[in-house]
Amino acid sequence: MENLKIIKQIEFLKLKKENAYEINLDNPYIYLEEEELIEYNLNRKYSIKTLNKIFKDAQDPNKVKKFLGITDFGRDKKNSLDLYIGIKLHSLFHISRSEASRYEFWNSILLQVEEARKYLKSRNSKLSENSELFDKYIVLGETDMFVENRISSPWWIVEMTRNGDDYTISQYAFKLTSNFYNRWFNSSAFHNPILTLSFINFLENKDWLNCLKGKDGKEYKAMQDFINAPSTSESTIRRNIAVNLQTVLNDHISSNEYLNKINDVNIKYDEQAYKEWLDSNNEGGPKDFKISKKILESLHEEFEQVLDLYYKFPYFGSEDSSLEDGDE
Amino acid sequence: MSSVNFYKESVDLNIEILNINGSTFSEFKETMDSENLLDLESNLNSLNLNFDNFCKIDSDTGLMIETWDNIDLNISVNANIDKLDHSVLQLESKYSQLSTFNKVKIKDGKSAHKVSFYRSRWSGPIRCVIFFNDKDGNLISHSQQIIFYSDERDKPNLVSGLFSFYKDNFSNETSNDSKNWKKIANKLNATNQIFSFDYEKPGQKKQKIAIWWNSKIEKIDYFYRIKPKNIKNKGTNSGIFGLLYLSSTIGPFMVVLHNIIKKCFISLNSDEDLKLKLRELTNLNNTNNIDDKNEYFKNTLKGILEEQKILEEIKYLSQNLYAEKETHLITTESKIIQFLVDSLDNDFEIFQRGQLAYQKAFDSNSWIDKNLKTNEGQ
Repeated sequence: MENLKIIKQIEFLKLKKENAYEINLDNPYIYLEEEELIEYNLNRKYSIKTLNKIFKDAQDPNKVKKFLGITDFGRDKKNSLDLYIGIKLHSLFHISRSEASRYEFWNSILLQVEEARKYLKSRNSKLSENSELFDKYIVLGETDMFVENRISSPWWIVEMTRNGDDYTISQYAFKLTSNFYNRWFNSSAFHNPILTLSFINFLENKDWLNCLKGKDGKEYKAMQDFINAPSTSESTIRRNIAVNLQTVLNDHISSNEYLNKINDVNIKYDEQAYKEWLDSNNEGGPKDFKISKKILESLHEEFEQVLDLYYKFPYFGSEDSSLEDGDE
Repeated sequence: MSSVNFYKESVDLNIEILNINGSTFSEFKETMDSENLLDLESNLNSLNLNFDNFCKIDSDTGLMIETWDNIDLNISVNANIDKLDHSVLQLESKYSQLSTFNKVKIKDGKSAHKVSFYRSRWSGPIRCVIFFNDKDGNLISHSQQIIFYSDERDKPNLVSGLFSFYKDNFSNETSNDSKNWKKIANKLNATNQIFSFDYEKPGQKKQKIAIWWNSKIEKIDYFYRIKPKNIKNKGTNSGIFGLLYLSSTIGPFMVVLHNIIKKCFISLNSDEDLKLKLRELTNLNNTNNIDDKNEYFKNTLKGILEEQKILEEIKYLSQNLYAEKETHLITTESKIIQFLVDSLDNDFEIFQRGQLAYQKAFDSNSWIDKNLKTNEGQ
């Protein structure tokens, strides 16, 4: 079985920074030596066949729709594809955070997995040449890996929002669109699974059309007008609030203060279960931890307090901008 | 057990290594060589615990054969602050996008956090801070930041930067036109020699010098493959590697210097007024003219060097080659002016300075002279 060979990151730096530079896959010196693979924790086998299958399936709209349980992509096609790739990649191609944190890992996929390139081209019709693809998706830094690269970014969104092997909250996260999830990568508060999962769960389950019930003061007028406008849907309210509330949480409140409200902030990871999952080929997520419903809901009161401030001084983006993908 | 105390404001911290890869630290220490152990103690003292210390290195080859898998630490706190109720330890890594918390009660000003690291979850530098709260959850104080390095990501590689390094069997035939160095080696019947160099592939925007090590020579192949940091300051291999590295790069470095000097000479030599001014500014009888030098650089020289696209290189080189702290060379501008004058009148001294500055930058002392002993092993 053919496995991915990890290419040295310096090759990608040259490819992106120097004109006319090419990476010759036949040149044995471009690949990491065994010792480097050990050091970077990239010394497992990564099946190209598995990757090709995942990306080939992602180019079949019927398979994607069936998996997502939809009949039409509507305006959210790219978002739907990201959700599909994020969950499929995570559940079928088992890698650890440590492996996924290496830029050369994702770059090597881009160069060696043909169906991945085809998928990215089909996802973004403006990219027809490999050179354009590399220019856009080669990972040279954090923003590339967590935001720009449409293979690594969905994987990370899923990894950061899964509750053990349960991908339900990951699906909520994708619904909030890239305007929301592209921001959390720079926020250390949202690197904590309890806070992230709790926040997304809160956003998903709140009744936004009736969120001002019992709040009749004139200070809520702007928010009331926005909610009552004919063009405002529940998802529009949720998306607007998600972005703004996240910014407030990120900028003004330390996660430590939030987590002080929880008695048990330590997530107990089952490392053995995680290792077994890494080595298995079964479809599904790792059963390495589970955050209880009680803990997920224990911060909701805190979010409500910040939310009340937002109701009084709201900011509204347009529905179009909240759906922006960043690709086009 | 290895531990270190440090003090910040009214908080004492103590880090204790409990387990590594399932073994107690005492058991694990048996497998470490004494130099690694010294490194570890030194890291602990500087609050930069480097997990590379827990990787296994093959004693024969110097190659890493096993990385760390899991590490347990106990971080205890003695906080001499009133009204503290609990402390929360936060670990954060942007590369792993992971932030974990460990909350414990404070009793008599003391608390202890047991934290575990798993290789599969953590990557890059991991930042650790302990927050101290009262019973209402109010933040009262916090510790200084401790950094745990889980891998080598943030450190510069010795062989990255000025040159690109490659290995090849000098005797193999090549039909690749870009391998001019190999043709020269063949013409000179020098295929048994150790190094060669060439520019990287033509047509690239900025051509680095490529240095080729002859993999036909077994020991050269070994030293090419080895990770320099694994043998640095560790006996004869460190010394041999240091000498090989220096001897393969010093010639190409002189080529870099020569190219810059040539460009300076061509840019400046035909302008008599400019040469006169430069010599006047650098006359050693006139050392109190820093402002004049700065002004002349800003108004005249900067534009010329920018036009030739050599400003940044000259800036970097002159800072290293004219590193003395003499009054007349106190500013970057004055160092650049001295470099320019010497490129016209005294290029020999630039090469002299270049050779020494390059060895200094390489830190040859820690690679070579400490590690080459006449009677090693006795």
